[in-house]
Amino acid sequence: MVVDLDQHLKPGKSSYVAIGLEGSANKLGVGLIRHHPGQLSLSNRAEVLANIRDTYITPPGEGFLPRDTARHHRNWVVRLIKQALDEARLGKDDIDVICFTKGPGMGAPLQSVVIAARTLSLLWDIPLVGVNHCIGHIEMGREITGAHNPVVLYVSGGNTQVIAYSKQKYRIFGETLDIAIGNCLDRFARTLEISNDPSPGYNIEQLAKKGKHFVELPYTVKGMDLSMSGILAYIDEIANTLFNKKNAKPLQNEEGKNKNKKNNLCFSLQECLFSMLVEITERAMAHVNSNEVLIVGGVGCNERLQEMMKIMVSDRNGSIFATDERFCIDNGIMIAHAGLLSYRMGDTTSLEDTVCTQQYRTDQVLVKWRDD
Amino acid sequence: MSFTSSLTLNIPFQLQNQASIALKTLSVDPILRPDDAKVSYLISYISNCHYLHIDLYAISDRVLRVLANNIIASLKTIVECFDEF
Repeated sequence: MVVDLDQHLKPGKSSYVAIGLEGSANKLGVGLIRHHPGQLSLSNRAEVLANIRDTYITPPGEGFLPRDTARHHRNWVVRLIKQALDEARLGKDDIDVICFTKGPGMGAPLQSVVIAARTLSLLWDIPLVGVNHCIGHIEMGREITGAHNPVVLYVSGGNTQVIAYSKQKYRIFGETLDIAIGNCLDRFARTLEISNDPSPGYNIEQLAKKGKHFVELPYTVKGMDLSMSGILAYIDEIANTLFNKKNAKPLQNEEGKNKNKKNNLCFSLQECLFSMLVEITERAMAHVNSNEVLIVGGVGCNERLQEMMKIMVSDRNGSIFATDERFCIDNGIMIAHAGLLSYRMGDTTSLEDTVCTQQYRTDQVLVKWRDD
Repeated sequence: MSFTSSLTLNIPFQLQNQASIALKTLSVDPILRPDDAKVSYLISYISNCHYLHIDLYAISDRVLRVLANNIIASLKTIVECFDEF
């Protein structure tokens, strides 16, 4: 059965336009998307009208704190919305719906963005749709890559989940039991005092490319789930003994030997974490009898992860789908896209329900726009 | 526990609509610790100006300060939206 997505097209309009506001972590994103009537397909694709992002970057060795991140978002949100509208050459009359991230994420940054969403909704008299951040990633990944019914590996700074669709829910097959993979990499970057620009994960990836020697680390797959805090504590200790002791050379003074050690540690951490991900993804594929894998989320940009996943998937004669940094890393367009799908099914969020929530699981959302 | 600290913010707006949008936008978010603080909003029209009155009550000056800070920060975003759009 095919879902009818066009019961709510406004009279006199030939397409839908949504604006999406994302600010659940240190990235602030604003996106504008257009859908044409009918099912989305390879010949009827969503049109990206604008997709801009501003990242709050902290100094090396420091993470982003909720209060400072919220301040960053508040400073930029109106400017970014304006810029996105200018880029798309659209005005308020062109927009059907304002989508925002309802959760999961950090409370203060989420709240600072939803304030702008509410104000504009009331000012322009346009309905709001609250979007689950993870659903945003999944739907945008499917739309960009054309993956039909993939096992989704969602890996980012705050989330690590293996997800598959069944009966109008994206169900979580496996996930982290403690910290997220991106969090693990970011925190190790802090230990090594690697730059956070453009992102700590990207810089670890570059160092790891030069690493050759594998340092044995704990391997902690627990059934379908993972645990990563122990690995982080273990490798942090190695790094601290190597670099941060009184007699050790200071970290900033990157001479030959120390540099190599750093590269090898980054390399080993990536290899260890990514093999764990590949293992649970493979098992999920076997469970749901799927041979497609879609990687979404910020860590999904990592080329080594994509490569390792590809080796596993090609052994199973399957295909792997991944996107580039525009759609992998948190962005506004995915919120606009997922929100618009939900709007086309007749959903809007009333003002009283726009309170953001830090905890909002992927399988809490009823996926009305799919019925397979 | 009784609220020992209090503060009133009087924010002037050009239009009635603006004051009411600000009120609706702000009042949605619940107070995280209702036992520690309370907020009430009121709109009035005094000498050609629409005012949003925000009454804040809290159990200590510290809680009051954090609350007022948050509300003012949100108000800044709201006013910026009015200015730009």
